[in-house]
Amino acid sequence: MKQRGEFLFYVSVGAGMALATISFTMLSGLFEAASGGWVVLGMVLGGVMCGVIAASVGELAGMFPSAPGIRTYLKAAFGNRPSLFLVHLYLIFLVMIAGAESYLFSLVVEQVAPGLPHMAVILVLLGSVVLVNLYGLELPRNVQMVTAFVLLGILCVTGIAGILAGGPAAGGGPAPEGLGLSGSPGLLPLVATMAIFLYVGFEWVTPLGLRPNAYERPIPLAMLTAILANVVACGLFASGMATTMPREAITATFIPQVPYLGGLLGRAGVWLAVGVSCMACISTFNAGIMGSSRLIFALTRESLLPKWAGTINPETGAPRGAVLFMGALAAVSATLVVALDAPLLAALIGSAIIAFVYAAFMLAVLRLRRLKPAGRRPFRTPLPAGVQWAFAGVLPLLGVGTLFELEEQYPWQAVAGFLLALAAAALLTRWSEALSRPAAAPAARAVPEEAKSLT
Amino acid sequence: MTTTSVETELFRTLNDFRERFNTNPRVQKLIVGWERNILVDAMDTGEQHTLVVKDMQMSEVVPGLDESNETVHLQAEEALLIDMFAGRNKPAAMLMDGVLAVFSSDKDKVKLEALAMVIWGI
Repeated sequence: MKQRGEFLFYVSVGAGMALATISFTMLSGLFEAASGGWVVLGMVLGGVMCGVIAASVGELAGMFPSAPGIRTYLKAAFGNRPSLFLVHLYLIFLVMIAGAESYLFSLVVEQVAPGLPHMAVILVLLGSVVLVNLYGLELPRNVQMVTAFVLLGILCVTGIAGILAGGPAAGGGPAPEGLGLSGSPGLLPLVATMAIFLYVGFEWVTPLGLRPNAYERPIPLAMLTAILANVVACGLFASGMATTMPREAITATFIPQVPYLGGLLGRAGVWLAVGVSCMACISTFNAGIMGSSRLIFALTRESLLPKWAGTINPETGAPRGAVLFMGALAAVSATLVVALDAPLLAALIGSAIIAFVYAAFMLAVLRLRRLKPAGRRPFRTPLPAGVQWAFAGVLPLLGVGTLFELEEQYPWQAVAGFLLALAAAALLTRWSEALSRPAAAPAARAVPEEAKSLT
Repeated sequence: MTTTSVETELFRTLNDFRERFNTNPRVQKLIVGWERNILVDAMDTGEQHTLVVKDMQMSEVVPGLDESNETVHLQAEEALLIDMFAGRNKPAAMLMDGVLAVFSSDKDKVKLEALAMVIWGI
């Protein structure tokens, strides 16, 4: 792959992972929390925060090129247990998002095929993804790239169209608020933290370097470019919505892209919204959610998950056990999201989780500089250590703050869900540790008594 | 490109691995349509070899890095590479520990691990 094509591939992975159907739900949540102007400013600030985080991730990726980031970086910096805890927390986050994403997809499909049961659509979607992965089929790189860039292009163009339309697209009802800055500026940091959710996934490019020197500049730069592309695309789309739709209409639905594009383009717009959601779903599932089955497979190979999760397809080598495991968990998660009708709740809890994970990445950079000062670092974050400490300290606080951001809608559920995720991650960590112990035990027992007495 | 003309331990280990690779029937199933140059790059000693997988066989161990076909580039310390190709270390665990780098598609990484599983039963 030529170097320019390779760079675009890295950008498309980072940007494509972030662009999911649930991103539009988060946009709805942002408008629930603040007015249009603050939402867009928050999105820009969230992008800057992600840029800071990406610079740290770039340094870690250079130290451990091609490694499955979260497990390797955090294990090297903090040891096995904290790393395992955060890996399980991250997997819980992915399972939650897989459930929410498939539910939202079913809501979008309902717009053009009313009457189809949600669970049927969800099971068909998840079943297809599982089957494709079981057979080890992969979306060709070019298709993946085109999907991500077409999606970004559609968001930009329709966003600009909305801004230029400059008034309510659908007649009657309350007037759009536009990009005014009503409300307290104090909301901005929390809105920005929620907005980070829109860019989550930029770090998925780090294991995918195709050659050693990709970690010097192309991958760190690709992460920043992916974030910037998403800030521009989502920012324009949100501005278009703020200009043409009353805030109540944006917040009344989990899929605001449908009424927005419908208002802008009529029935064709609804179909476009379905197309956009399909592409978002494909890019997210293809690059990430089912890709996480490979993380499960690798954990199994470390004896940290049951052996059956590490079975492979004998003809392709595809991680059959891990794919089925992930698919089953996603189906359970989707059932819960449907029952609770709460994809936004999943996104809120996800924002808090990801704030903790990203803070851990930033701390890992600082700790590894102390533990391995001479380690190879083909890329170093240009930010002073003080700024990194500050970010790592503030991010978890902001993450917890987002749990209270939609207090009227979810007075206790977000906090409870987050605590439940922490408890589940702790239990899974203990389980993994217990699973990995038997392998070490026989060796310890094999030491003869006389040898023990010599020590 | 660093090459080697003497039979080093890594070179011998790779040739042993080639024997196992070519005589294992389960490997044959796994590599249908999979043709790669596997670049073995010892970072600490500079020793480099290429394992050529073509026509359902690992045809030869070539000194140096041959990037003429689609590649899977493995980078680690020489002792760790020897342990991995001798079946004493799992590639996935080494990758997780950050002591092995694999520059390839995600699918090829899984394929390597699958090969280790069927060849060594680990």
